[in-house]
Amino acid sequence: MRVYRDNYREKQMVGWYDIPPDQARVVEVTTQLSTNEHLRIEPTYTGVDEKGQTVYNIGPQNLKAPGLALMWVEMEGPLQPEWPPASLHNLFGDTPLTKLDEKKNRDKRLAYELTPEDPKAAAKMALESFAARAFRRPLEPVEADRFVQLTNDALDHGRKFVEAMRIGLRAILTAPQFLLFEERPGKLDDYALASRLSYFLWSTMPDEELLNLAANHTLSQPKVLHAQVERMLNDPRSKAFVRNFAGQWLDLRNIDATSPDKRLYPEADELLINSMVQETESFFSAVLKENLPVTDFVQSDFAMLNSRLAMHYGVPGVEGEEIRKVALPADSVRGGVLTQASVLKVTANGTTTSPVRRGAWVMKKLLGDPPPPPPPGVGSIEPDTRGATTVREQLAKHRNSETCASCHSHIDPPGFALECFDVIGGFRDRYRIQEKGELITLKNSGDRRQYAHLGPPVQCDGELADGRAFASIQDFKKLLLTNPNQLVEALAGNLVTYSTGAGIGFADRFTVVEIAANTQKAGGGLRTLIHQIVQSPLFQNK
Amino acid sequence: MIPIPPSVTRAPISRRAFLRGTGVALALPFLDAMWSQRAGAAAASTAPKRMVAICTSLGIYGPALFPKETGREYISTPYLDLMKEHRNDFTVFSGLSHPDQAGADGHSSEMTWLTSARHPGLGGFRNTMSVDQFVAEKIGVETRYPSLSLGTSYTSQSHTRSGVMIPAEAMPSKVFAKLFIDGQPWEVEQQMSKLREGRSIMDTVNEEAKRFSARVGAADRDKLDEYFTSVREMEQRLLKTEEWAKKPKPKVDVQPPQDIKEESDLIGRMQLIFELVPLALQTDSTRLITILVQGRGDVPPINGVSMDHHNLSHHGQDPEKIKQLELIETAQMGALNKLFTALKQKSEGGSPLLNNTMVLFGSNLGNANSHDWHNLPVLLAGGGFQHGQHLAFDAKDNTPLCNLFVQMLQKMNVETDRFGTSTAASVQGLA
Repeated sequence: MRVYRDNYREKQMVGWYDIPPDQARVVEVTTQLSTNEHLRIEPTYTGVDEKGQTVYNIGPQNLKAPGLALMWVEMEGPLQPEWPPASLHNLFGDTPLTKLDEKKNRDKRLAYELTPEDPKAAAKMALESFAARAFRRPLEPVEADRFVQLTNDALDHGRKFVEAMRIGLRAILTAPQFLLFEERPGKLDDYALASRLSYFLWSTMPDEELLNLAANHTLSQPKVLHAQVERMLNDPRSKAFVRNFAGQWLDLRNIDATSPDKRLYPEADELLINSMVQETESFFSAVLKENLPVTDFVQSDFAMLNSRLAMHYGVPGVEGEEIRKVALPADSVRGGVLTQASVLKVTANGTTTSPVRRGAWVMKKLLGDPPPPPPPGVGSIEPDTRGATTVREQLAKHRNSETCASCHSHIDPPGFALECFDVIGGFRDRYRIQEKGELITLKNSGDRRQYAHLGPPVQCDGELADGRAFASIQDFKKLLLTNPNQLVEALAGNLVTYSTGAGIGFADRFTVVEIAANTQKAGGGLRTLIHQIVQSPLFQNK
Repeated sequence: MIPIPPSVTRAPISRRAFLRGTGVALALPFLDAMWSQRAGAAAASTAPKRMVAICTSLGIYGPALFPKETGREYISTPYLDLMKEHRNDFTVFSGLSHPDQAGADGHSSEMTWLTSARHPGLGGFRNTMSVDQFVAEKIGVETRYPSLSLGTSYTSQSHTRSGVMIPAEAMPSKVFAKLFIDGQPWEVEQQMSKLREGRSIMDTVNEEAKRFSARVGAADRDKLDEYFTSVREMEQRLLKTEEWAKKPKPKVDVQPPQDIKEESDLIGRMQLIFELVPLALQTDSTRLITILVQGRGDVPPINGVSMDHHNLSHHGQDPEKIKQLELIETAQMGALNKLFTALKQKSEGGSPLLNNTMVLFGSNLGNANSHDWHNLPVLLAGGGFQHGQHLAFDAKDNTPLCNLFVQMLQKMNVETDRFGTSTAASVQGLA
């Protein structure tokens, strides 16, 4: 069962829920509905018969197939717990609130107004405290006055208190002190450090505890920093770090950049696509939470799955929509991020896979060794889903040319190993094609019609540039793991760039190598790596 | 009509001289007298370019529209016959569409006709910028209104850079007031004081940024440059808007339109909106107009029509339904014909307003009967192109409609060689 927010034009999935056969289940959803939106509930993989007729068209009494029965729906709201809201107190302190006369008030959206005894004094107090929070540091002398002046001018022109306040507040929120980080060259002061830390691990402004530590100049002490990193990583706000960092590092933000061809991949529904991103984020969270080795990003003995992903991967015994940790059998092709559906999808287009694109991705993202761009004027390979030639055959030309081979002997092999995964990360030993051949029957698709045919067999063996051969994806991962330092250094470089907002300069390379080496000595965990970065001069200096 | 003095052959007045002479700053309609009489053609090429995009959302019955022959010698069709007096002023296109328009439902593509974003309404969908707003960002400050988004309901075809729909204005009387009726003095003063506040905020943050700049390193100053630039741009925009607010609106001697209360009278309402187009353009109140004519689920008051429009568009090849659908669409094409006539009758610099106005007309559905979004009906009139042909592209492998958009953008003097899903900067055969 799927639940959407819908305004008749666009719908956004709020969640989906496994409903076991012949068993009722209570589902509770908390969501925010905007004006003109309603909840929309739809059955998934049910309510359609073998001929493809849906319950909407033929009516429930005529449907000869399983369906979804809703017994009741109850809505509760608004969920605002208190009045006046806490945000009002945060902004205006104890400024009194007066109910407007309903008969005289023409603007029906307003029911109250703020009525301070001394508007200018109230404005000064409110703007000063707001600016200090917005700028994430104590204000300099007279700094707030310039914003207060704007509000005072408006009050002098007879504007109402709230309208005049809006002008001062807007100016604060447009000011560079709010929009930009103020980092002076050299060692960061405690407040700049608090901001850097907070935007790194929470993607938001520092909380009171961090600002207090900055105020008494203890934040930069190694022990204090260590304790703060632990506190921040254990705080739910660290989800923002996982989403933003993994989203950029592993390109999860591109998950919807292409839509899988419906005729070749009818099983690529939104449950699967949504679950893909959840899987990788949950995996990153698990590695972070348990301080698992960075090498787990290449190979792990577990995966984070729900029923939809388990169906996609062919892992038995996983029921329900909740993502949980599942132990993988020793011979599984899964484990690590490389073989997660999200990564395999963002490195493919909607129709075909390219070993060049995937290989370049592995070099850049996991090995920290981006290949140079192709020389101008060379053609690209032309994908062909009619089944005549495989991409391997087309790429063979590259390897026979010496100029091409110097780069492609590095780029192509990781892509060859990943060739056993299709554009949505399904494992394959034969390609899917659009013409001729044996039709594919899919169990895990809402669309029962068959379009895709079985094509030529997939070849996923290869040889690294240094001559070491692999026969399968499992072999390939083992080869990657023989040089764990490279993996840790690559991730360290990405984390440093993310946390400081600056690229790694030539001189910084040695510091990154040292960070990685220290991390490896202490077990190679992701959490350890983050501590090492925060304690390093790269993080604490501008 | 605008009080235009008859064209007199004498030394043309420059805009500036005209301004000085009147002693007041006016929003100037492009008066005929201001165009050099001798160098008519050259002056016309400096007249502002305009773009009007009209979408009728329930498709147009193809067999009554598309000619069988291509090129200039095509044999007219029932719908094109209704506009035969303008045959050399428009081009009819077939075989154009936006790729990947399979969306949340059969009509989702009505929000992407001017954007070309793929898979409208499906999970994760976010619309992109519409072609009119793309131009408005560049030239919008030149006119009182950067663009007008009109329609027969609140739904419009205009979407901002972040993909948000700009609600359409559906009441002709309100559009007329917005264009030609000055606000009360207190309303103008209220708007002015808001704009002044905006400018004082910009002044303050500009000063803050100077102080800030002195405190940070060289690497961060590049970032600050972007900040300074956007502050300056915002100041400029506020200033321009303030100037417009000060100027009285242009006067036209036309009675304000009476809104049609009957919602089902789609054609009547569409006609009223069309009548505003030449007025808005000639007074240079805006240079960009989009109009979405949204087909309805009720019976329009047209003789011989007894079924609702949406239902008729799903005619299922029933001859009676097709006959009624053709009656509705004939009325629509008649309204379009009147718009062409009006744009041709108005002149600036000795040439018809239509010559500087591109009118794109069409639908987001190629065959509404099956919600097919391929092979869209598309008609482009005016704008200075060489018209009078049927340009046919591959019906099985359509050419992106955005290729035509790019060509239109370039005609608007917007420097770009791509837009949306374009694959080329022009369509073959259109010059």
